[in-house]
Amino acid sequence: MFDHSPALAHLDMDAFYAAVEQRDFPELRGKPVVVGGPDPKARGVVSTCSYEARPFGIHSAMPLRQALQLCPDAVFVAGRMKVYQRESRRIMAILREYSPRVQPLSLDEAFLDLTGTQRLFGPPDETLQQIRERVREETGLTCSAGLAPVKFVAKIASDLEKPDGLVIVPPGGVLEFLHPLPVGRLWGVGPKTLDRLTELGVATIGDLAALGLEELERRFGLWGRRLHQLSLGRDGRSVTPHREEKSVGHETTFATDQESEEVITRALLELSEKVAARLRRHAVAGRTLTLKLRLAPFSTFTRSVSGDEYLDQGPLIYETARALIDRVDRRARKVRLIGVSVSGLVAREAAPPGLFDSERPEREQRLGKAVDALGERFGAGAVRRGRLIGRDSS
Amino acid sequence: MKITLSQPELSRAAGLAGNVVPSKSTLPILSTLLIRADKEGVAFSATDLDVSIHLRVEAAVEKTGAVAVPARRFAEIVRKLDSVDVTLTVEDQTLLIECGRSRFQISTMDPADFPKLPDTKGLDTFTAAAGTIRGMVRRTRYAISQDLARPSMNGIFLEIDGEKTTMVATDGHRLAYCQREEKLDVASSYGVIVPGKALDQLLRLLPDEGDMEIGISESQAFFRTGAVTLFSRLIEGPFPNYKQVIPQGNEKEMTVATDSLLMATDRVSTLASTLNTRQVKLVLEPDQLVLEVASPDIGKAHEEMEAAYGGEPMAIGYNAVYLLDVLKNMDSDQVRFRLDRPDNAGIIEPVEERAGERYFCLLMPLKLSD
Repeated sequence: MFDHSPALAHLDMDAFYAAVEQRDFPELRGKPVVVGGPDPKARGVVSTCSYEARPFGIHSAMPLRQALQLCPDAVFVAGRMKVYQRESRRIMAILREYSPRVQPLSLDEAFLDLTGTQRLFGPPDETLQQIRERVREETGLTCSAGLAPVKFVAKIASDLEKPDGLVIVPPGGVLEFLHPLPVGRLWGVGPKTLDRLTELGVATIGDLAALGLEELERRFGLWGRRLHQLSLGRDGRSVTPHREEKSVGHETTFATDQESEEVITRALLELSEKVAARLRRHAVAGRTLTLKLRLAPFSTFTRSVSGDEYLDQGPLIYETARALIDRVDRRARKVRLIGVSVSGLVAREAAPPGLFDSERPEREQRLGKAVDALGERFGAGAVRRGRLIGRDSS
Repeated sequence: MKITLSQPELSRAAGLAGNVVPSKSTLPILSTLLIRADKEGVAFSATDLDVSIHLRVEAAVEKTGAVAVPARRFAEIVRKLDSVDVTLTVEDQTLLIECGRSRFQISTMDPADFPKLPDTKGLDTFTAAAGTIRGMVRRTRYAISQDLARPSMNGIFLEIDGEKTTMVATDGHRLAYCQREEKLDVASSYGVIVPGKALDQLLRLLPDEGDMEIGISESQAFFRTGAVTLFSRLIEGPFPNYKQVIPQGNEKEMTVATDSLLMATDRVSTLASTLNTRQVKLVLEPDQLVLEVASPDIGKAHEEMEAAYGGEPMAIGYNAVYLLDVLKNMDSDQVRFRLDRPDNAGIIEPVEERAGERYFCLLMPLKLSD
């Protein structure tokens, strides 16, 4: 079926975090489960909810308090990021057995290029079904998947029959598949574009195609041209195994606003180590560090600085972030959120060597690698800097 | 306070002091200039708490007193005034500026809030040639690190032992070194790190001729020339062990005309990409140097020039921006590269050395991207 055309799959775990919780804690099965924080009255948002919670109108990114109002009987859990990361690694490892071209979009979602795997594994649609079965057998979790000759179509397809669904869009069947769908299903068509399209009488992707290039370009400019392409199922993007990261960052929202220097320092250390570990995992390093700081009640500062060194080591990232945070005049206001990110990324190999590399940094680098290796084996956070141990910060 | 002084003198003082005023500060008083009139005359001061300046100007003092005046606005006003006498009068926290037919009134701050400037008493002081110090700062300043995470590299390492004076700056990828034999009457030897911001002020203040006075303590230094004194906090060390990274072997020598290489590097670097650290490749061949830039998605450049080189052909990659900085500060018609392997630091030095001086730059090569 996919003999002479790309076979691109999109695989998406069903209610991933909540499903992991229900798997590990049988008492949660069949109940509305909200992952996002053990205390629904605290600030925070829903990261995932189980399918049982969805009829109540709960969805990701919704404030926890609102979720509680919608469904007072829901079970709220804090979430165990380390477990989710471990499960994600297992899932991605399964995918990589079938193709070297795996592009993870997040912990629970990935593109997979099955083009040309026919001789090894058989027809791509059967391979994808096999992958789904293996994921279920090995992790006890279900996923939904889509297969299409076009990347964005595969993503739309995987979402259509959730949960536990598989949708195949054969080459030659793309338009037949796309055109009846609501136009809001297209990548990048948000509420604003949707409003404007509705005004034009466009409800389905087919309507959009019928509008024609000229009209779309006149109304939306370059974006109109792109919309036209999408409406015809055209999208040149391929599956890029290492998604080109523009930046790598982490942030922490404190459960309560913080003024303790110790807590802030520890958060900064932890964020720096996390960012460093992720940079190393992607084998990249970057020169620009951005610090994000939200002070109570709601003023957000970002400060960036570019140094001479390419950063991928926790201590150097911490020192730079520390210098930036010390420059923000907090005027005794409490801190609500801290974020650290590194951008201006280059491949670690391409980062220029330094005159003093033989002194301090090499030791740090070896240390960083050893920590990463232990993290891979025993889970992230198996080894931490002395400063980070203490009250559990996760 | 009431004083009268000439507009050029006032404008110069306000400008010099204004350079020290921090552009953003959490302490409002730091955005002001302190003007103090006493029986001995008038002094201007400004500080950002790391670097401070104090300068005396000639003025007729009718009434003594002090005022803290918003630095930028004040400097702008006096710069634009006619070149005649200016009278400054303070009344009820307002500064009145009168000059010819112009009159300005600006709100001021309480001079009592202005930070106390460091004291020069108790510091070892000695005299040095201003032009020499200036020249050394000028040619090493560029290699200072801007990296917040490495504060000890954010300045020039100044070593003085009475026989010779040495300045070293490095950002970890390049290093500029300047040493002059210089008999100085110092009480002891010094090794201190002077921050970049103070050095920038020094470059503005120091004349090419004449003497200057330098005072150094553990945490402070001051530099005085004429009526101007610059104070600076010193950066805490240790400065990296630079001596250890100065290569000793490096027997492959290439000599090339500084300007030709400077202009050619500048030209080809327009195609250098930040994705490979603005890499320019130097291909050394018998009596020829080839510059190459190849940036994916941007384009390629190639330029050849004459060079004196007798070694094995080799290729070495540098950050074009760094190479340009080195060449711009060479002050010599011919420049000599002393290289080892393409992955080891190279020495770049002037062919014509000044008497009693040793000056060179170290440049760490990049990994060649092709």
